[in-house]
Amino acid sequence: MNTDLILDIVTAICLIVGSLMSLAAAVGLVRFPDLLTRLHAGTKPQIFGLMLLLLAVGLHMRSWEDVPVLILIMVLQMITIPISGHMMARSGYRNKHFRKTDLRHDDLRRLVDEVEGK
Amino acid sequence: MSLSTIAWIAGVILTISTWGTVYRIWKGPSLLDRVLASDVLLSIITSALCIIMIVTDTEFSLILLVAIALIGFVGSVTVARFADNSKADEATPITTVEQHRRRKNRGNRSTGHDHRDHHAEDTDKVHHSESHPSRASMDQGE
Repeated sequence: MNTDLILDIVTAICLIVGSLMSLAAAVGLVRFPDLLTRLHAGTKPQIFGLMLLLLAVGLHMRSWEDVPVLILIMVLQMITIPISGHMMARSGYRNKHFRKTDLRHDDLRRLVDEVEGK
Repeated sequence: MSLSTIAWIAGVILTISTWGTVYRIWKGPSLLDRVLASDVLLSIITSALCIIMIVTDTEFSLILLVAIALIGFVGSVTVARFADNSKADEATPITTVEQHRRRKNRGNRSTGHDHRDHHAEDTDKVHHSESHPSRASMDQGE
């Protein structure tokens, strides 16, 4: 086995697993009951799936000129995706788009009630 | 198995997940579900761009990926911010909450000691926690 074959196999595995992350997110979006659980499923391909696919691109191109751009894409994604996830979870919590009976411990409720003056 | 076969398999997987995402956009009970599903759709498009780059052996789409990673979150943040109907402020500092709680719990006690540091506040809270039943019940949760 030479090195090219091993790199091709790793590229193929990264492609398939990265696509399966999107499939897992879609199944979670269809099956899960409320917004917070869907948010948990939906942010999987945005970080981990993209990481695997960018790794596949880098392993396929095999040129050092692409590596800084790939790292830049990954860092930007890791900065911006938690912002949108946090804002959606915050808005979903305050608009009560979740099942209250599913929560075993709710630390935020007390704080939100006090600030809102209830 | 050649690389094109792998790309076909990944493409079929991405197609199935696109249908699931579009179903959630179409069906979603709240606005935030639709926004989340459109975010996932954007990441599926990103994955498809990566696969196209590998199959066609071009690096043309890398700058497109940079642009998506830069501005892809703006729409969802905007919608999540303005779909919010709560009265709470955006960045309520924890000291405001503490002052509110102290005012509510101590009634008309003197509030001239607001400038103390957090360590003093913590010891004060521990010292008075058993003398206020409302705070003790709040500490136990609902």
